[in-house]
Parts: sequence; C-alpha cells; structure tokens
Amino acid sequence: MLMNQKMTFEAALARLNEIVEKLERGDETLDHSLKLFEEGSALASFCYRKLSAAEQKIKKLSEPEEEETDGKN
Amino acid sequence: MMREPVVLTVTQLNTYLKSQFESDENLSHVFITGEISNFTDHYRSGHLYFSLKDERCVVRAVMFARNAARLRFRPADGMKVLARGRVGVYEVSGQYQLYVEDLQPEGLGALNLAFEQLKAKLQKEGLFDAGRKKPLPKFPGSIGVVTSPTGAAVHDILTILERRYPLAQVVFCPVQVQGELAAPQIANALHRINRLKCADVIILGRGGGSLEDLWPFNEEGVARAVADSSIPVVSAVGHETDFTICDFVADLRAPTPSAAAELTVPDQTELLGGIRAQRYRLQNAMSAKLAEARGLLAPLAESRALRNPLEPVELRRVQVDRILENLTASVRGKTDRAREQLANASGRLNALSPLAVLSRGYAAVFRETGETVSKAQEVRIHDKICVRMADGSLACTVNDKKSEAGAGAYESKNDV
Repeated sequence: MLMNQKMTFEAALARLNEIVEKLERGDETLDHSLKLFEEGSALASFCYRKLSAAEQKIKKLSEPEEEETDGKN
Repeated sequence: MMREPVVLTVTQLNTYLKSQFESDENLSHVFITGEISNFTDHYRSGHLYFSLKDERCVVRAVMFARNAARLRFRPADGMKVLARGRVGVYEVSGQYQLYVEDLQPEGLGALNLAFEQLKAKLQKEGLFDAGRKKPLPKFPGSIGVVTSPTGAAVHDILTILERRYPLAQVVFCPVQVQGELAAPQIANALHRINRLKCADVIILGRGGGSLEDLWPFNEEGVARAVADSSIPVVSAVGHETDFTICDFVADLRAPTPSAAAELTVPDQTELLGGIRAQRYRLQNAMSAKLAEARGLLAPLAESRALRNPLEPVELRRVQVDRILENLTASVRGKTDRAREQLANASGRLNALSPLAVLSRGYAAVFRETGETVSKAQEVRIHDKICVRMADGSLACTVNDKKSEAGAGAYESKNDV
C-alpha cells in the first residue's frame, strides 16, 4: 500500500476523497476495487486516528538574541 | 549728554535680537493657529519647513526631526493646524520664525487624520487590492499567533485552535500590543516568522481597546510588515466595529480574535463526520461493486456446466456402459455358439472313438512301440503285440498267422 505514517492529514484526506470518487464511478476492475477499498479504509482509520490522537503542540517563539533591541532607544 | 553711537556687526545685531526673543516669556511658549503653506519635508535631515498663514499675514516655521518623528499624521499645504512651540530668531538670516514642537490638525483628531492619511496612501499603493490577498491554507500544519501573552485574546485563540484543530502546531510569538514598543515588536515578529518559515498562516491581533490602544495596528511599519508577509495573515484587532489599517492590508480580516481562530482552521468534528461519510461511501461503493460482480457471476454459476460439472462424464459413462454391455453380450453369444459347436463336435468325436468300437466287443492291436497294427501281414510270428480291449489290454506273442480270404496275399515267410 502507498500509505505511511509520515503522510500528512491533508494528503491522506485528499487521497481518501479521490478513492471514494474512483470507487463510486465503478469502472475499476473488481481486483483493483478491492485494493482501493482496502487502501481507503486504511486512510479513513489513519485520518481518524490522527485527529483523535492529536494534542496541540505550542511552541513559543521567544525574543531572538540579536535584533529587536534596536526598537526604541 | 549724548551717547556715543555704537557700531554693531550684523552678527552682533542678530545675536542680540535672538537673545531678546529668547528672554521674552510670551514668546517662549506659544500656541499659534493657522494654515500650512510652502510645506517642505527635508528628507535628508527629517526637519520640516513650512509657513503658517491667516488671511493677512504669514510666519515661517520649522519643526526639527526629533519632534517631527512623533507626528502621527503628515502635514500638508492647506491643512489647518494648531502649532505649539516658541518664537525665535535664525541668526544667519536674521529671520524670526516659529520653532514648532507639536502640531495638531484642527477639526479631526490627530489620530483620525493620521489613520485617514495612511489609509489613503497605502490604498494608492495598492496594498489593499483584492488581488494581493493570499488564500488561507485549508489544513494549516502550523499557525503563527502574534499577540500579547497576557491578554484575553491569546487565551481565546489557543482555546479555539485546540478545540477545533489540535492537529496543527501553534507558534506563539508574544509581543506588546499597545504602547511605543508594540509596532516595532509586531513588525519584527512578522518578519521573524517569515524568515523562519515556521507557520502556514499567521493570526495577528489583540482584544478591544481605545483608538489609542489599538494604534500600533494603524502604524505604517506594521501595515508594511503585514503586506510583506509571504505567509497569509489574518488580522483580528479589537471588536467587530474596530477597523485598523492592519485589517485592510491583511489577507483576511476577522471581527475578533476568536473569530480569527475559527476562520483559520477547520473543525475536527466536521472533519470526523466527513471521514465517517467517506468511509460509508467507500463501503457502499464496494458493496455495489461486489453486487455487480455477483450479478455477472450468478447466471454463470446457474449454468448447467457449473452446477453439474460431472454431467458430461456421466453421459459418457452411460455410453461406455452400454458399449461394454453390448460387447459382453456379443462375446457371450460367440462363446455360447462355440461351446455348442464344441459339444456337437465332441459328440461326433465320441461317436467316432475307437474305444466306442471296443465297447462293442472289438479289439485293437498295437506293436510294443505303440503303433497300430491294422493288417495281419504287418506282424511276424513271435512278434510281441498288445491287444487293447474295452476294459484292458492283453500282451500277446504271435504264434501263427492265417490269411483271410479276400484279404490279399501275405508272406508265408512270416510263418514260423
């Protein structure tokens, strides 16, 4: 399968949508349909997991060492 | 007594006048109202030169750079102003002039005027053009937040980002959002995020406040930093009714900081619903595909060939059986006939058997060697012969021979 854990949520969702469209068109072979279905199911689970497991990371961009001191003096 | 006339140099005169002006308290602190004319902005030095006039008179004025830098609006010819400062003499030309320390536009407040002026200027430069607006990313991986670390705005923004889209990272850049340091800090933060490329979209804002409080967001430096940002900027300053220059330059204006957070990220609840729907569609499409395949398969599966694949074999087997039967029958017929023929033949054979003749009282004669003897002349006197009768045989020696009439001559020599 094409999927891996480094895939972004966005890419996974886009691929899922593409697969649904393809499968709904119904002109794939049965074999390929099954492969697509399998991949689509995996992508859906992946998106699900990613969203539910997400915990916001907050990075603080603190004052830089140099500059900024030239503000008003 | 006549005083000797005193001869002064020009410099002495001008210096004298200058000191006279400076020692006059009435002139050291004045408010003058008038209309600006002959306005010159001395770019190199930053000093402003102009005249103030009313219907009848005119006075020259200068505003030195350190004072001019504090002006929030830009003076222009025809503008009615209230100038504060002192009156002094410029020694070199001997000209007296107004040394302006502060300038206020009449009518509109200085801030309002400054706002309108900057707005008009940036608009003319095209910084508000719809064509410059960058689209926001649909699924930002990282969101820059530039606001005060202590206000309600940061709390609102972070709460909503966390609730709606925890997938994204937040890069928080704490800055002052009011006061003198605010504008340079904000501009710096925007530049820094752009330089580090650490966000896909930036929320810039603060909570509500007075026009004075919101002022940094009307500063040219901030407006230009927003315009220069290659990362889309969502501006969220104050309340819904507050508009700042920053709002006009930003790629998207949000009415409040909370709204900015909502506009910046998708909602995970909706996303989950969407994924659920996609999964459902996926399953439906697959079921349909399978049903279709089954539909193609069914008539084939129903066909005799697949339902009873052994039928042709059976058919052949019946044929083989029949042939085999015919074969057996014909073979049996043949053997039966043969057996009949055999019985017949053996019956006839039996009828011809010499033994049958013997049973009627005849005897057969053999030599010792087993050859049959059918004529008397074939034996000689003293020959040993065997006489075979129906129930046994006799071993005999020939004593005499007689020839039978009609039996032909025999050798008398054989007689002993």
